Amino acid sequence: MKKITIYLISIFIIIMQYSFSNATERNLITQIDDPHIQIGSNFFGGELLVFGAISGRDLLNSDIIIKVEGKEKKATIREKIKKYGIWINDKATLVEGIPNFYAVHSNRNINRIIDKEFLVQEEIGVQNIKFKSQIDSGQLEYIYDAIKKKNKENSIFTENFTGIRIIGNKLFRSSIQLPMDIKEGTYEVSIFFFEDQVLIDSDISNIFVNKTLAGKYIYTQANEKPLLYGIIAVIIAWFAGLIIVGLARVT
Amino acid sequence: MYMYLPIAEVSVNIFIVFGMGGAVGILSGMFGVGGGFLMTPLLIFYGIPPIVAVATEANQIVASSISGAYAHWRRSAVDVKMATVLFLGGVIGSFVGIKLFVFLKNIGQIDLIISLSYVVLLGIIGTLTFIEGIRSIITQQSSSSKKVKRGKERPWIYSLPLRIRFNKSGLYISIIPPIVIGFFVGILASIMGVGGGFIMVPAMIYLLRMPTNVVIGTSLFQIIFVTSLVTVLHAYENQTVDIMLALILMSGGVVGAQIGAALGHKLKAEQLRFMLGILILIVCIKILTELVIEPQDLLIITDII
Repeated sequence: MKKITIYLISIFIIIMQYSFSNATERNLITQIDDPHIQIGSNFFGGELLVFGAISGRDLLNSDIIIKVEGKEKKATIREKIKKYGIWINDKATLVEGIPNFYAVHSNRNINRIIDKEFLVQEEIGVQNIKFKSQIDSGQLEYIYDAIKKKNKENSIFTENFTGIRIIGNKLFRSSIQLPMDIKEGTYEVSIFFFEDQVLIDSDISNIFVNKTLAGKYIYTQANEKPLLYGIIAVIIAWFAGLIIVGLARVT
Repeated sequence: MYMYLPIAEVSVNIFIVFGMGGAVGILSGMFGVGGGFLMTPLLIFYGIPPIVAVATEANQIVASSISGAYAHWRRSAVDVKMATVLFLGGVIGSFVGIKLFVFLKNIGQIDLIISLSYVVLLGIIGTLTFIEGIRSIITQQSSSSKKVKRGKERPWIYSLPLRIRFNKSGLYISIIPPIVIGFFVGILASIMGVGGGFIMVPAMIYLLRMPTNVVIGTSLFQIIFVTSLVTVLHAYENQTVDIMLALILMSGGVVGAQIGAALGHKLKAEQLRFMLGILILIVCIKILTELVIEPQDLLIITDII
């Protein structure tokens, strides 16, 4: 199988010759070259390429964290319980704030880069993603952990502490895997730049994932004009049936 | 070659799905079964969400029952009036079935109900097919055993009110029994994504006492319209009909049905019937096992956008 590599972002860090007088010194300026991801019917995963440099600094003592986060969604969680000898679904718990994609890449273990407080605040690292739920059952932690575990297994949540390569002390580069069933929408890319456990600069930009071709068209029609879509599905089936009849008569 | 299915929201190997359509097509060509009751579980095993599998399979059955009904139509073995009355019941059944489906989906039990229905259904059909297959091997000489035994006395259901004449079937009976049969078939079609011929055919022979030569044609003819309605209702209520998936299955089915029909002539299909029975029972046991053994994931996460 030929692997489709999509160069989704080229982030160029423009070397700043001058810093602004009032603001903190900005070292990190990102620019998204082509932030539009197209998913056709033949999409089975791709990669997001992020690279850049920091102005006037060596990356020798620097750390970089890249976080990609998708749109937050809600989900109902049901525990399976054994009843009458079979496994059935128990009552549901509604959980909000689950990103539909989450990836953290860094050049070394994030816990050594910056203190826990910062990681929690910025939701960096799968364990620091915050969910919400209206119901306050004692099981929430267990449910949250299970959601994280399952999403990790499906590569929806990923962490890679060796995912950023620093080349020649000047350039950093990272490639983030996008799963086959990535959802349409806006994704937020945050880049954090640290030196000696201090945040020096950060930048946020967006990428857009679009479903294209037949896939998107069909999905939109099915959801926006469901009745028409159903009728068309039936007409197609009638045609297919008549083709079979035609073939049977020929043979 | 992989393809992303827009409604099922999974990527599938086209050749595997095409092959499944083909394999079930061969079986329907050989044995004259609809195949919906095998296709829906296969799709679920392959990872298609059950609610998409059911709705999409209903869509595919429209195509396969048209081709099936045509042969009977040409031999004028379709009782259109009876099919219309059955369809009337089917309309009510489909609407009720879809409402039930939506309700079960909302309380998070639809997957379980689909699985349980299949365990019961496949268990019964598999056992009956197996026994019948064995019997046809034992009594292969005496063709007289194939005759349907019908009672002489008039069944009580004949004398219910609203009687009309069905010329093709030579019956003058109440329309209530066929409406009730159609109603149940409509429910089955909406919840399980099957045509329901396996229920309708015996019911027409044993309850309505229709002549066997028009039973299959009438059943298939009726299935076209019920599954068409069920497809539209699923598309409208649940947005779960995947046209791409249906198209691949239909193409596989076209090829498979041709091969199956040819094979059916060469091999003594009736005597291979017990193998179909075994296959159905294997699928039944597989679904049952998945219900009984402890699942890997004890938490089921359903996304709400």
